[in-house]
Amino acid sequence: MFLLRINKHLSNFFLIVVLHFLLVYFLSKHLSGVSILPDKFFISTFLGKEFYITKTFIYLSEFFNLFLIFVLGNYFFADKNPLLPLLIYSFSPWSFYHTAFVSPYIFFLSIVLLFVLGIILLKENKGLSIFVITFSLFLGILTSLFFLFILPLFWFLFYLLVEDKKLRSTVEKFLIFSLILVFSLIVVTYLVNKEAVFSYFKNELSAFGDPGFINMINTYRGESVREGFVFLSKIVENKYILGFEFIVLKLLQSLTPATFFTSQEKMFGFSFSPPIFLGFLIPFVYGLYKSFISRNKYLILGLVLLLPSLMSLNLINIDRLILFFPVVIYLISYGFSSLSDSKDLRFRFLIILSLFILIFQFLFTLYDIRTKEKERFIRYYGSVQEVKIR
Amino acid sequence: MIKKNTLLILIIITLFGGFLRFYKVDKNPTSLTGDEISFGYAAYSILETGRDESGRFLPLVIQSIGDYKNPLPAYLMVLSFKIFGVSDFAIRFQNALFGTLFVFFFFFFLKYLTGKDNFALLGSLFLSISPWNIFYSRFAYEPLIASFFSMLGIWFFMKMLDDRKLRFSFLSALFMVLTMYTGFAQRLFIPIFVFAISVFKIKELLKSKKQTSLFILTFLFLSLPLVYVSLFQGASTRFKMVFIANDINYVRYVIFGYLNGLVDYIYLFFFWIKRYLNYLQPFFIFSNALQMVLPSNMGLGLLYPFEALFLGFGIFEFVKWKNRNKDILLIWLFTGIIPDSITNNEQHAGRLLHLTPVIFFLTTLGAFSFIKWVFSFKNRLLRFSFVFIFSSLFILNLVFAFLVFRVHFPYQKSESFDEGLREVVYAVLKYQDKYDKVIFDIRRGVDGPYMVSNPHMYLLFYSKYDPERYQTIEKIRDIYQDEPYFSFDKYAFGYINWYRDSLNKNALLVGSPWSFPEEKVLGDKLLEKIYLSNGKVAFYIVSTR
Repeated sequence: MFLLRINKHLSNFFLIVVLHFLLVYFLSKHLSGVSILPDKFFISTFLGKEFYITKTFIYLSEFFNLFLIFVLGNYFFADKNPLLPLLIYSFSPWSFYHTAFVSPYIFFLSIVLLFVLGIILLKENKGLSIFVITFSLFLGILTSLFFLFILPLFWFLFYLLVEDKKLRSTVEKFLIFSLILVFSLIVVTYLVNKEAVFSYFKNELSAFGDPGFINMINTYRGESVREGFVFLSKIVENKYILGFEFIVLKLLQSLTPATFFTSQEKMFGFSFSPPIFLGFLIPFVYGLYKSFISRNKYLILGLVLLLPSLMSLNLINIDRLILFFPVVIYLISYGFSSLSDSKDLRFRFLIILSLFILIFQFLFTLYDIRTKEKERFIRYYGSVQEVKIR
Repeated sequence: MIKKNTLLILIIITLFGGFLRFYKVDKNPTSLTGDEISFGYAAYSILETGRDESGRFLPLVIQSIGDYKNPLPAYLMVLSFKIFGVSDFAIRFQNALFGTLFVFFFFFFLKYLTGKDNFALLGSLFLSISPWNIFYSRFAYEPLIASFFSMLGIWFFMKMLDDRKLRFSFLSALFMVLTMYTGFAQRLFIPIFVFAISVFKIKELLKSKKQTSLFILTFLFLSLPLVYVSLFQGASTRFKMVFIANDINYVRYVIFGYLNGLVDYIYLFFFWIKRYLNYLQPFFIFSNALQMVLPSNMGLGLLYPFEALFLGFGIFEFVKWKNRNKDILLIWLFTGIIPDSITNNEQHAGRLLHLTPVIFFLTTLGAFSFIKWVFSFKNRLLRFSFVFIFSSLFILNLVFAFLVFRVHFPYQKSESFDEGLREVVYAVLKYQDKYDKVIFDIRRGVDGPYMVSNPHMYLLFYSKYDPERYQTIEKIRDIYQDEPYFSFDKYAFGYINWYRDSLNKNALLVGSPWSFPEEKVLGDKLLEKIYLSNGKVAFYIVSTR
């Protein structure tokens, strides 16, 4: 069983964990004075009791994330670089910024990783797998509403993709059980607190009621009608056609390199640090290419993790997009492994170039955090210095 | 050799492309832009006197308001004026013509690359209906012409390496240099491209020493005058103005207006990388690159949304594609983004026009592969469904593009194209004889006087003001310390201050409604109102009598 393999690298794992939390400490120290408005879990909405996310809880979740990525790394890259995914995760600003800012998305990421682990375990230990999947489903739905959509959808897509007949029948039985679980939770939630659920829906699924979008369509329709193009406008300028186009573009926009490897979408609205260092771009692109070539259909599952960001009002919600981080980590690791496997000198050069940029940008980011990040934060948030993550 | 049928189809595609570019070209965009009018009067001045408006004889760089313009578009416009007379159509004719020629020659370029007629025809068809190419073909915008030249230059460069004929070396260098005389972004692109090619193709270049030497010599010789004007006649001013280090986001939010030392220049590098990668944003490519509608609205991009799938397929196919010119295309693509990415504003579709051939090559490659894939389905229903869905998407995209060009662009962007200034000049010419002075407010805007225009250029052009007289007449500038001012003859251009300027006993005032008191207060003094296409009032013509 692959879980047993992790013993080999445990000491390295702890070393990376320590370094990761040192980065979190470094960032917190230089942004001292910045406090986070504690967020409430979804469960608060219908229990009438407020469950807040605390610093300790997020730190524990982050430790758990590191561990799960380490475990998954051992599963996917056991023979080559089992520690690579962990290294990518722990040294990416995306993870240490979110931890330092006590972001609830660190906890949500734990749920996603746990769910993925559950699915992977399905082949090796059915009992443990079912427990892990049920537990993460339950935990996810209680803590955030968007898990109501993404986890069952993830699960259902997995069912469609599985080719092994035996595994398929297990998934089939279990899928029904999980759908009942989800459905009953919705009913209970709805019965207990109807209004709160509606308001939660409105907040989380804001993309579909964007007043700017509706306004654009009305403006277009008005202008076209005035010029006598009533029919043409009716068939093209409506919320279904333009809405579909908007969602597709939004989806593609979430997948562009600028989103992950530059500060195009500023983390927490102010940061100049990119979510992932630029040096990982080359392995990412290569990993993506190799995955296409090898027709890795399971990557489609990863697209489900983009849904929370797609549902938000912003074009890209870089906080919610962190749930897609494991897929990016997988592609980068796969790209790195494939590049290092090749004996072609050009590929060796690309690895060296990537490493050079990585080290260079890492050191520069530390310098930037020390010198200018706080000023950016203050300019963005003013004197409030409290962040509310949405 | 090209087959008769293929030639016939190509001619039909080109004519259709020409129709989309020439049809009502003087009416849509609704008005000549500030740049067009500057080029127009410079060309008119050269046509009449051999000198531009600043009095320089056959200049190699055209001095304009706040910057310097490229010479070639102005000289091409002189020819156009000679043929069609001085008019809005004549100003835009050359772009529409080059846009149409682009469609025609693109076929031969694609045929050269792939050897397939069908492939080349499909590529030409895509280009002929491309909103990107159509938009920039419909007004005097020099990068479009430069892009046409750059395609020829790079194509001849490929031929030079493939066929090793000296005439291709000469032609390649000639067109590359012509590119540099035509567009600013392309002036930067060509040297970067040539440098990158020299590095990556050094072995091949050394193999054909004669051809390479002729290319280098021609290139250097023809670009010498450009080097001279760039260094000594201010042609590099524009580059200094628009360099990325002056970017407002960079200065205000990244470095906070100061640099701590050399290490802080690294910020500029990462900021540039961000800009560079931004060009791959789907919203830019497929939805709003052309900025034909308000920024918050979905409009038209470099490609239609249905081409997104083709582009994706195309990139994938390109990786597998085997051709000796593949690396030239790759270098073209990667270096082509550099000139615009080092400027101080967001992505600009116009400054990427020289990438047209590569992007449409990839799109066509993808379309070809996509069509093959769809027709490989054995299930007829599935095949039919794909064709039906895709055809619907294609038609819907074309209809939306039509509505944007025909309706939304004039409604939402006419003000940015300085609509109303032509009508203002015609109104002024009607009234001016009765007045001693005409004062124009350079500020305008329906929502507030936030835009600044150059009404004096519109006045010069539409009144066909004698260029010789304008070159020699006394011009007064900046008599007020805190506001811009410019005057010649009986015309003055600056800020209208109603309490000050209404004291003139016999003056005609022209400005947006923001420059005057309410309509009720003006009463009979308000002689005329000028409207935008969307029905909003753009200007008042007011008498002080």
